[in-house]
Amino acid sequence: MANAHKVHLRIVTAEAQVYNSEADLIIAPGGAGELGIQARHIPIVTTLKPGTLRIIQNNDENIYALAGGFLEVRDDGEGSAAIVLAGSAESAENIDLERAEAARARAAQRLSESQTEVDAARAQAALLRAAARIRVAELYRSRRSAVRG
Amino acid sequence: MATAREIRRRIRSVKNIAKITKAMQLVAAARMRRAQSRVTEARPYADALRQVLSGLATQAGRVRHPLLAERPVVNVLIIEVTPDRGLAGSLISNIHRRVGREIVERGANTSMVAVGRKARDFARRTSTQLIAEFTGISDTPVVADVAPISRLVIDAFTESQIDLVLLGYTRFVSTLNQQAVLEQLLPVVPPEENASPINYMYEPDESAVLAELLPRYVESRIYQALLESKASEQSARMVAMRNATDSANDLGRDLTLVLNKARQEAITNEIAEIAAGAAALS
Repeated sequence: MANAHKVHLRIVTAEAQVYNSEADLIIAPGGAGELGIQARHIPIVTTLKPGTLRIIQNNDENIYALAGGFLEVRDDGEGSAAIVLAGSAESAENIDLERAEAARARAAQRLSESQTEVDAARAQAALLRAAARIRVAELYRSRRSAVRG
Repeated sequence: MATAREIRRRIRSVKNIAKITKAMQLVAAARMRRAQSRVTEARPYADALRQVLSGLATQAGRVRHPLLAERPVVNVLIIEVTPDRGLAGSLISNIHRRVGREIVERGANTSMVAVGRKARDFARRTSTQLIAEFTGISDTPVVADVAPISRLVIDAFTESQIDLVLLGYTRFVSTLNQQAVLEQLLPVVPPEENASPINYMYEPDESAVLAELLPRYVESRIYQALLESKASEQSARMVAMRNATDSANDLGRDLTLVLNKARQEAITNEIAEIAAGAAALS
């Protein structure tokens, strides 16, 4: 079943598993910079920043907005197995752009009003998450309109 | 002996009780299935987190973090997770007993964080210092529901107000079996996995991954405890209500028997009186 040229990818959040399939290439927002994962990648554990996770499979691309987390890649003998442990992961088509914009505005306001360092850090994190969602949604929309046009 | 009218009234009320407990049983059964599937759905994340953490732990000596710090234990904090509502058989008293024993052993420097109304009531009743209470958590909790709890205990631990955090909840074993447990939450004891360690590359580096991972791990443990507790609550309530319905039905049957006997006795008496009256006349 496992294909030596593919990466078996699972995306799990604390609440549920949101993705479980094979991929040719995964591009993830790593804590030390963006990284691409293909089959036979060396075992790695990395933190993930809030951002865009791109899954490329048979020339098709799936985009997810991640709210930070971890990525673990291991060699399962036949190919590579990757697990994304995400604070939250939303597929691009499910993102409500208006809600994301509202969340960004709220976070920006909280950031400007925050009194303590901790508050500021939390607001900053919320801001990054909202920005990641918006980026993903916009990316997805522009792709879709390009296909149509 | 009670009159026929009194017995009829009791039968009516017993049957009404049976209807109510039957309804509660069905509601609990539906919620139990949902709660159980949430426990299962949350497992892959918790398992994967544990694996990464145990992988990091094999790098022993090279990683340090405040949440791993073992200190001489002076102040103990117990997080007790209970349902908000009762009528769940012995479930609640079991977890109270487990936590209560610990409080007695640990002595005066023990405080509590109550998750669920029953835990709060328990803290008040035993006059244990209550640091915070979280009640009214939805039956389908999300991680955001436990974020304030984990933030609170992590802050208290890193500021050295607390040296040991224990997590008490009811583990869901099966529909008929729920187990009250008390586990160490902080300092984090990295789990040991039997699988041979993989030589991972860590990015940005071990301590950065660990610093991100440990708070998530603590949060995930509390979340898991909450889900287990919810599943246990619904199963225990379903079983308790099934027993209550059965007892009510049994009681109703017994009372009907008593009623029939009383009625027959009354009829027999009447006939005997009539017969006696007739005999006296002739």
